[in-house]
Amino acid sequence: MKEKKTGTGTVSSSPPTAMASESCSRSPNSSFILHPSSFPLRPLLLYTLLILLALTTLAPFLWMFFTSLHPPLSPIPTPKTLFAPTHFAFNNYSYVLFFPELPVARFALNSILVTTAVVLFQLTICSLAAYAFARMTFPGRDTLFLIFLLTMMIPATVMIVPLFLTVHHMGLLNTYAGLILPYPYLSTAFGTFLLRQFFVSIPKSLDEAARLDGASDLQIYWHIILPASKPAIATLAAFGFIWTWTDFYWPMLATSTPSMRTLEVGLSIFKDSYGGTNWPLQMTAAVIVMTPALLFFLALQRYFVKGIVLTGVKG
Amino acid sequence: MARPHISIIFAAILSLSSPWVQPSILAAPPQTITLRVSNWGGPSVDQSFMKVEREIQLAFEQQHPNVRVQIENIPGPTNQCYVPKLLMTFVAGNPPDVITLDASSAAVFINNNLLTDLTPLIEQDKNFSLADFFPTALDIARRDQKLFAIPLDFTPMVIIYNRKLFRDAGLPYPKPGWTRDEFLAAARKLASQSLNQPPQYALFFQKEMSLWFPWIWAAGSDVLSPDGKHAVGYLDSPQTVQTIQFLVDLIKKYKAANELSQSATAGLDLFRAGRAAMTMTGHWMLIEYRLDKLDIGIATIPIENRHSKIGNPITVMYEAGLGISRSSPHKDLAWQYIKHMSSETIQKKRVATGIAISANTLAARSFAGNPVEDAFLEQAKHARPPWGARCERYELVEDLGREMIEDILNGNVPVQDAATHTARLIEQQLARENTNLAPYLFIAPATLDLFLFSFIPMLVALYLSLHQWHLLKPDHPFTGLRNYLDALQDPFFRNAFFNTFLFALLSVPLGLISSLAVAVLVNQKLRGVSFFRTLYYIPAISSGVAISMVWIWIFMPQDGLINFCLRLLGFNGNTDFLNDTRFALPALVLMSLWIGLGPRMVIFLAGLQGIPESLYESAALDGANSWQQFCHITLPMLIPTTFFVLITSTISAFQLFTQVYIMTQGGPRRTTDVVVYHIYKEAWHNFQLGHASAQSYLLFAAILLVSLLQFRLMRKQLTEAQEAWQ
Repeated sequence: MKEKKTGTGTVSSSPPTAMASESCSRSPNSSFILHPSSFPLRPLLLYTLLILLALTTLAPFLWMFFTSLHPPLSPIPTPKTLFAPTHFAFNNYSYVLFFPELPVARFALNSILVTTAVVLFQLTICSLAAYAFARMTFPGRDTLFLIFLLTMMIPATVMIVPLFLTVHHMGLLNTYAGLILPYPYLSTAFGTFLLRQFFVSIPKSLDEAARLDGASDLQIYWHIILPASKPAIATLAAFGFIWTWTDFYWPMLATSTPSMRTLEVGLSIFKDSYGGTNWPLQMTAAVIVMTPALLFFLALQRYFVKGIVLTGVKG
Repeated sequence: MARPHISIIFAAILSLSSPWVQPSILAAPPQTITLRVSNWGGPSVDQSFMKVEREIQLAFEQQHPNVRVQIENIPGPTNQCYVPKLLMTFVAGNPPDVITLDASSAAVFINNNLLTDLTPLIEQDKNFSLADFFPTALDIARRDQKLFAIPLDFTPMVIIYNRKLFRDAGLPYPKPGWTRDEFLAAARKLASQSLNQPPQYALFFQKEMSLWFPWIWAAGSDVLSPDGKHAVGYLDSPQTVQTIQFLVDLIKKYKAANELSQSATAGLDLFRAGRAAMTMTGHWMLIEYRLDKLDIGIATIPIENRHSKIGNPITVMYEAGLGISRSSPHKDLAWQYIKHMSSETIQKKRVATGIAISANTLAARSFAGNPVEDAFLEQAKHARPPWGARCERYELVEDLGREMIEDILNGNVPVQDAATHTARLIEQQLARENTNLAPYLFIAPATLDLFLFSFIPMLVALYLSLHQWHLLKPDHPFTGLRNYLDALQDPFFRNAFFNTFLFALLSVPLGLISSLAVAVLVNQKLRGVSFFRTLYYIPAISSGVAISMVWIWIFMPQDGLINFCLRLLGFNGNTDFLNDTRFALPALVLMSLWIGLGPRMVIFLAGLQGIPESLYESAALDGANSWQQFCHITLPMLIPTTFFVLITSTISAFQLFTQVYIMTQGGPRRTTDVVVYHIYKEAWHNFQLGHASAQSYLLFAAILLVSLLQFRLMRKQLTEAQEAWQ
């Protein structure tokens, strides 16, 4: 009994006493919910909970999707009519995508361009700064880092007026630079913080070995730290993509011509056109905007928990 | 590593006007090779020592008839004269072939790649074996597989005592491994003060750090961190401070050691004058003591007490060795010279002068039997190379260490204060010295971005907040703090603040509990559970505008989802949630729980997975049930995670905007008019940028205050949790 207390993870190799086999059958870290022996229906109950919660999570999206299949200008669907529209208007999608008055392809191109640029730009500047904060000693480091963190406390929405004025004075309104550069302001501090926490957890022995071989800081950053940080970088890329892709206010304020609009802003026209909310078309636009973000998230999601576990936000 | 040392660049500038390096080239006769050897010190007062030195060089020249050895002596203290001048020759591209390395300044030559790696020369040479040398002395110039110098001789720092003064005081001679208490008892008897005679001391104390810091090593502590990069936590650590305090007490309290005004810098060696019974020094002083005909014995540095962890007092080993400059054209000849100098016969001859202990074990052995030599050799076993052998900037530490002792002894600064201050100074300077531009280049893009698009807007907001600034009116009179006072007195703004607090008060705790529960659920080992994890995250990636539209439907009175469900359950089910003053804010809370579930769950999940399984196993063995395990293991271990989620979700609760903007526009009757939405309207609807900016700053202050408050309240739990983690 005594050794078992001190050893870590040795239960499975210990003699199969009644107690040991009991704790064997339990999953790692799952110890609190409903003991198997005391509750045989445990998996059933857990799955019921999981599925109920999944329904709660997904219901709004189901509604969004099925509403998008209702004919344009039909009244807001009720739970009864939701799955039974007068007819399934799949052509809503082609209608929105090829809407004659709207350059939707241009919106999509703008969205892809702006989002890609923002994510790449943000990953570059945040990872460089995070490397310095994690691996280098220099005067003012801790103060600077604190200032980075403090900027996270300012609501972006609140600062958008002065930001608008600043970008206006720089002459960057209605340009790609004006769309892209201020973006990371919403997340530069967060990204630097996230990556720094991760970099700190990478063993220093790796870069010290490289340093002895004459590697410079830039080489260590590029050849050692970045390859070892895929989960954190994927996490930040996913965050950056989702935030930028679905952002409404900045592209709305910073652009003035349709040719500069992003999908989220460009397609918002369906919200108020024809004298009221055109629910089906609005939801069609929403599904169109959301699908790439969803795919991007699904592609990177397997890194997600890992990225957050390893960034050490747990303390 | 390959960075040029700053002093080299400085020396480069100086050397342009320095004629010092030139004569040696001109003086070389064409047919003979001149082997240039650097060394410190000048002609010694001891003629016999100088004679031996000359004989040794002559012996080499006789073996190599076409070679002339030219010793380039640089007088003065090594760190002030020898190192800078020698570095200058490197910069001028004309360094001596053989470099005499002083262990306490070796780092600057080795770390800057100025010397030749000797290993290939050693491997080719069958008549040379590294096994003949003391390993500690060899290690001084070793970096990984490379060796940059062969040690000649060394000395540990020891306590040398005057046997006559001990006898006069009726004291036994000190035993090896004596303690500070025994030292102090003896010291108090050895010291005497009388009116007519100059005072007699137990210990001759000098302010040079190299002459007192071995006390710190002997006590098992240090002045720098093991990597040589930090002084905070070392020079100012309790053990180090205690040791310095002991020395200070010896001087101030017991008058058993001299004040600084009487030390060698004032031109007086109290030990040699017979007015101090002990001194801390190295082997080289034996030459002088022999001339003075002092009857001396060798003692160890007193250790703290017999129960202290270190068995033997550790002291410092100063050493001299020979290396070959990287650009030397006569490397093989230089190697022959090094072999000659470090050989058993030459070493015996040289060490016989009393200068030091030979690093060649064969030579050192021939002096065995002499009690003084044996005592030195015994202490050399517990000696470590000085910091200067590894840390290029150790000279700085020594300078500041000397100033610290002066502050303590002459300025009566408390030891702890002086040590804390000095450690910080050293830390700062070391960081500066290690710094090149690189870190700043790394952070420059992110900082520039923050500066342009965060700090400048903040400053703009600050400026606006001090003016009456209507977007469409041409004049913007300065109004000072009136916008702030206005905001604080404005009932609508106060209402917005109240709503924000209420929203945070509801959504933050509920969000914590619900996401923790879900995290525990998806942490169960079940087939397909990771599928559900992904599913639960999806709300967080949806577009804020579109999803707010969907939630309008959910809360709708007639055919909304909630009312539909309520009717299924037999309730009336016709509440217009978003237009009912009782339900509008709770509705927003519910929606925020739905959106925030995924991110919070993932963070809690990360925390859960970090809890060691062994804790649950031992709790299960102790008979704790699942609920008890959750309360006594999971919750306490999750405190840091909970804190992170608490802070971040509080901040985002204070930043609530999109839902209000799309779903309620602040209504009904301003019950959902939260601060950010209020500011938005002030700016974009009323065009009162001055008001909006002042209100933004008030909001920022509130967020900062609440975060700090949470930190204060949870500090105790956080520290406890941290201890539990360890």
